[in-house]
Amino acid sequence: METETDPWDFDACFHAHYARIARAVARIVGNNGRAEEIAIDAFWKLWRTPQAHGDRAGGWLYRTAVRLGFNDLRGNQRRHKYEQQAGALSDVPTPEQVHAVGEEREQVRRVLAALNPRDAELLLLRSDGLSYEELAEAIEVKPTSIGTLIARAQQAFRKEYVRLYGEQ
Amino acid sequence: MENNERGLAAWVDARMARLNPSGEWQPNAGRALAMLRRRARVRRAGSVGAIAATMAAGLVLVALSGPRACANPVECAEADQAVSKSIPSDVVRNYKESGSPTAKVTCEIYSDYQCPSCAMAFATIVPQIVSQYVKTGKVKLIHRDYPLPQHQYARLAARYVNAAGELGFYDAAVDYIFKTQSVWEKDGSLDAHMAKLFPPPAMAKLRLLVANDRSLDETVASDMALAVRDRINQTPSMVVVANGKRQLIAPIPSPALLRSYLDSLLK
Repeated sequence: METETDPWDFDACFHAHYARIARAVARIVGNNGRAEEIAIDAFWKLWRTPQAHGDRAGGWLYRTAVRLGFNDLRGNQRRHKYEQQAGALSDVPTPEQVHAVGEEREQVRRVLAALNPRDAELLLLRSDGLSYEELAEAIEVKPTSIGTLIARAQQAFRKEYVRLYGEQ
Repeated sequence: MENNERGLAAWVDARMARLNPSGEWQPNAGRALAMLRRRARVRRAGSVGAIAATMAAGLVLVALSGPRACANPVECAEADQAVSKSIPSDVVRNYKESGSPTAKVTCEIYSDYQCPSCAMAFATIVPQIVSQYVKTGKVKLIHRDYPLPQHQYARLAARYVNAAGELGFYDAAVDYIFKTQSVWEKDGSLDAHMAKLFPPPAMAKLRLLVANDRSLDETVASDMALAVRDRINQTPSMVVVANGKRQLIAPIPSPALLRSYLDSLLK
């Protein structure tokens, strides 16, 4: 699959990053099918953004996919809140409830959704095994700043977690 | 100070690790790439309307990690061919799906094997749809699992039926499990009942699958995740997919009304 304007190898990039990106998004949204949709959307954006092609495409993809994932997570949480307020389906256990992946996992997702986007992205990508260099590329900062930013993100995560769920 | 930072990092890492998936899920790169190529072709064709329709269809397609439906059957067939290349030939892919892959309309039925109304629907309405629309190539039928939590054996029944599907006997198992529902639902004697349907060698394979095959749970989980999007809250429910749109119909209407609805979509 070649883009219209440059000979850059999209397929190679796709095969190098797709599975890992889909898995990273799945950790955010908690739904494998939805994660694949979002990963495809990220690659579609890449395909349509020639300036992102090249050696730095991996970082660009991670950033884009993780942002799309968090947007989806926040949107779902808003929708869930409105549905609860409206009493929608309140008397029937939903498949989501039946298939709940565990309260602890959901707690982590709620905390990540409440953080500022860069902190959430940083924590998610770090826990996904990206190196400091890869993280720096993904969130577009200098590698020397990553340590400080991670520490701040961890503090923000703990603060929000304790605020929502107390010391555990 | 340094110890505090390390402690904080470990504390956060432990919580982030909770997001790790419990199973070994493999994203389907073949299908994803096929979808991207399809989008690219449509874009090159220069039709803005086609892009919107295809993206919507693409989202629906990828959401269905098992059976899939599509607004554009020809394109979907191409995507499926691309996907099938990445799937070993000894794997039965879409045993829950029957009918022409290029059918204009798809009916997706959510059912629970312990639900009496579902058994009734599969004894009365579904055979009519199959004979009049599925076998004639007009409609594609997809059976989806929606085991209700109050039904103690529904999930186990789905496991047995889906295992039978992997062996190539899905329709027979669905029919038999619904017909014998009133018996096995009393004590969960699904194994004994399936043993009446299958000869011993096939039953031995079935038991192995039921005991060990994690994909049996994944197909149910996939159906139930889709049920959330379809806002399913009862069984049986039907989602009719036509012209790129999903329409929930619940409860399933009378055969005459359903025929009228399907005929209007097929015009």
